[in-house]
Amino acid sequence: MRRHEKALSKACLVAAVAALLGVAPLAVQAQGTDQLKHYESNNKNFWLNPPADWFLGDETKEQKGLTPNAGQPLPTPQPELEKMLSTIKLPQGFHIKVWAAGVPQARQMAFGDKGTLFVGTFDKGTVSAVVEEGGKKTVKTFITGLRMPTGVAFMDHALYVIDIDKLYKYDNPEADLNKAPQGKVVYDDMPPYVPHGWKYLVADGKGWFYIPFGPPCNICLPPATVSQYRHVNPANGTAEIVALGIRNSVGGAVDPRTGDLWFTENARDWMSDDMPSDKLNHVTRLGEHFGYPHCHQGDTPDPVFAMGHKCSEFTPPVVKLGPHVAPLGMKFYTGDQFPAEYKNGIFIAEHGSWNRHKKSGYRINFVHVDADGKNAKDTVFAGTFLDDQNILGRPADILQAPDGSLLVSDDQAGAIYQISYSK
Amino acid sequence: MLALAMAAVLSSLAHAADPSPGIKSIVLTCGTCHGPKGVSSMAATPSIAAQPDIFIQYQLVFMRDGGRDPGVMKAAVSKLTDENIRDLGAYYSSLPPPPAQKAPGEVDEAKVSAVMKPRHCDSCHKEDFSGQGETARLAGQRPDYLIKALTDFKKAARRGRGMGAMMEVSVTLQEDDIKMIATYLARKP
Repeated sequence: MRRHEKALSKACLVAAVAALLGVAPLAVQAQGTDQLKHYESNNKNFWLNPPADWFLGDETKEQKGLTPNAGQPLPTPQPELEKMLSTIKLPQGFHIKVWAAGVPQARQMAFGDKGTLFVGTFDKGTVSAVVEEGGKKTVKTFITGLRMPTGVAFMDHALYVIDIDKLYKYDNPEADLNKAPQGKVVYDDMPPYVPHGWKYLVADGKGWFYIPFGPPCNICLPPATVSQYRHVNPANGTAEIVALGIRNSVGGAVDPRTGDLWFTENARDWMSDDMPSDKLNHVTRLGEHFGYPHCHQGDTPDPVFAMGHKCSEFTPPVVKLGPHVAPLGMKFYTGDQFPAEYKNGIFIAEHGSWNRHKKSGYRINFVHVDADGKNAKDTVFAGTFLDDQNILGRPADILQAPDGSLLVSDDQAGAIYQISYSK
Repeated sequence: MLALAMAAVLSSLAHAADPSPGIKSIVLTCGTCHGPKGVSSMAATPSIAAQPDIFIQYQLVFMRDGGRDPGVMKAAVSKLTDENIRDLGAYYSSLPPPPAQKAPGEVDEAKVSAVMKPRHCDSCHKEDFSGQGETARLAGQRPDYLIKALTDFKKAARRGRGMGAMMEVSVTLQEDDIKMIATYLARKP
């Protein structure tokens, strides 16, 4: 098994993620190796012209040198995937296997009418289509030329793809999987900011989407067009803001018991290895404010951006998922394959930490919680995708398959796994 | 005569890993420009011997899939499979590095240091400039290629990993600085 080289020094990973954002760098002030990286991120110029390493600009002495994981050039080959999966711990009766390998940067997933699985990517700019051909999975590059098409959904015989500031609709995409139809922009009243601009599509079951908008910084007073969830009608491109005070959310789902929106949220970096916690949130009324940038994890005022606010003004998380675990895609389980105690519980893909010395996340968690948000219980369900501190995989999304099994996308290993239950 | 040549080739290859069967013929093609052992004697064409595995993989992926303009590499990369790319990374990274190159011009250690230290080149490329992970080996690289690469970064003409950081460090380099840096790195063993 070919090991990937260990994480590089700080400046190296500037290079690593520079191409991710495809943005021109600001002129750099000379930084000595002893100095901390610092950017003033509370201004429009930063948001529109972020430096390539915009996420490093609040570096502290205690956390000096930490940088995002460099990723992999290519998807992990199947034999290595199987070896990794054999180390994943699951509860009794559950099994995990490779559902499809070679799905580069696999992010949000959605099934088409005919069983095609559409899968977004991070910065590859493509959308994949996975089909069964001759008893095995074939991965097609279905759509190309996008920027960060992390979110996909399938509704009314059409594929929807969300890319930074455009929601595209592709009618009847399964007619010819070798040639995608022309995408139609159905919503674009969105700001252009790339940092935290990659999105997720939460279908509300009634023809609309909930779409998250992240702030173009680690910590700042963000422009009024972001740090929110909107409820968007793709039929006519109208929308309203439903929740505020949100940092980076790349996953959410509607509770089948109530119709309420629940969402995961990535909290700020550069406070410490253990603070603040990432969150699972529950929206109970229009216009609810979840605290960012003033208050973190429901109880911790920001040292600079509290701006006179008390945390009691805001809605705390239902669950503190843990510092830097990076919760992304999530789904309520509604199937019958898994034991009854999993019904209406939430599976969460934890992408895993970068702003922490000892890695956290890199696993799937399960949250059992009442419809009103009480009695929440968060447990590790499948993990970890680490070998010591070496990253083997990073879960990005969860999707329930028609047979009640769970699909998990992994955007580092470039694969999709299937978790099944049998007595 | 042929036997002597064969023996020379075989003994020089004795220290390197053999290319895996799937890339044997691909390596012959690569060698026509990059040199039979990955040490290039072709103008403005980089040596690829002892480049880090992940660096090679990323550049081939970007050239194949659109993250970087492949230019003259287009035909070479268009049919590469993922497995080919992994094997090429493993093979070329295992080869002995290019020897220190002859390079024109004077190298004033103080002047070179004044230009390179504030840009923290060694922070990614390492103190001996042998590269690591997705960052290229610079030591022993052809000076004409180093000039081309730095100039491409300076003009924002080159994409595919490293673009942001490399643009930052090269945008304020003068032409003479670039030549001096290239000579300095090329001569490094």
